[in-house]
Amino acid sequence: MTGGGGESTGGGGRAGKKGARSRIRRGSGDFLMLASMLDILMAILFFLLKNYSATVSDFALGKDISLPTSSAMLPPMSALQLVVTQKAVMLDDKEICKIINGDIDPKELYRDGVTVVKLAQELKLQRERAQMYQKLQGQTPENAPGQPGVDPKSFNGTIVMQADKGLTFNILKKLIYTAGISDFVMLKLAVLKKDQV
Amino acid sequence: MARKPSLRTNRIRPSEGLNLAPLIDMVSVLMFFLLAFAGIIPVSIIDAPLPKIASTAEEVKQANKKDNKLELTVDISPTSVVVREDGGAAKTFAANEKGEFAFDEMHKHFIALHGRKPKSHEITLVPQNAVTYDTLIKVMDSSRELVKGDPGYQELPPGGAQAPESAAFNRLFPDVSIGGV
Repeated sequence: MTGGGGESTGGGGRAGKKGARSRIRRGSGDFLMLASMLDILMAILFFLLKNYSATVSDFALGKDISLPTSSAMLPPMSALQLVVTQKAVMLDDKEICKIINGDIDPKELYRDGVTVVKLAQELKLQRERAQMYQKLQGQTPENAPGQPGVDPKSFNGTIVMQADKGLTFNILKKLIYTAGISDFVMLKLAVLKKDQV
Repeated sequence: MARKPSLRTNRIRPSEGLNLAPLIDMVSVLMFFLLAFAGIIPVSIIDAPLPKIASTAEEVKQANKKDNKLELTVDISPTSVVVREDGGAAKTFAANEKGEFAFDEMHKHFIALHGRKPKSHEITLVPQNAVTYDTLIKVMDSSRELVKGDPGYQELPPGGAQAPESAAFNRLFPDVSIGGV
């Protein structure tokens, strides 16, 4: 019998010889039909790429943080990120102050008891940097930030707060107040979409 | 005696089609990375602009203009949520033993309030110090918009909630201000 490989030619030697010859003519062996599989994979790949470009922004989710869930649907935006975990307050990954016993360390506060001094200083720095950038770009009120085609690095007073859902308003109000007096009045609250949790 | 197999008959012939295996490999790897890292971030944003002090005459005029609008204030404490309209009538929602609120009931109350003055979209939340951020967000959720099943709910236009024109649909009180700061 000459019929090696997968197919058994069964009967006599003649049939076996014929099978072997036809296999030789076709090529070296039994290939999987990969073309249709490739079609499917390509379709999925294009879908994923399209979805990727539509939804992914440079929004970075803070570490050690459990955001509250919400039915809000506004997409995330790139802006200054104020991250508040159970342990610390951070501004764009830079630690501002620690949270001890469920409150901001009183040493970090100004005499009024609500202004977080380091945060106010850092926000002032960020604002000045953005305003300087805006000045160098020669922007006018007509091409103010937020308008299409205008550089997002320009100052528009937007700050995104990512806060842990277990934090109390006692901490948050100090941060919100400090942001407010530092001209960051466009407060945005980051939340997790309810239907995707 | 067996003859030596013919080299011509038994030679290995190259396959006639394209070899798609490497392409499949590549696409599979790409897909894996896209699925793993594109990781569509399930984050959304709630607008909560801080109250701004009116400085120009026009801003003061706008602030004083009531235009048949409702002044809605929600006092939030760990044990109760009090919804006050125009500083007068108030409705209290008490928390249960577990400290949970009946947000569905609250939502219905907001629908009723909005039905009376449909031009109103502003709400001021005044949380107490001990109120958690989660509770604050849930109160915002219950007052923001109509949901499926509510009277007057409109289906969103093509493009879904991400479409800019969707912002005008099903609004209750989406313009949130946080007071007590």
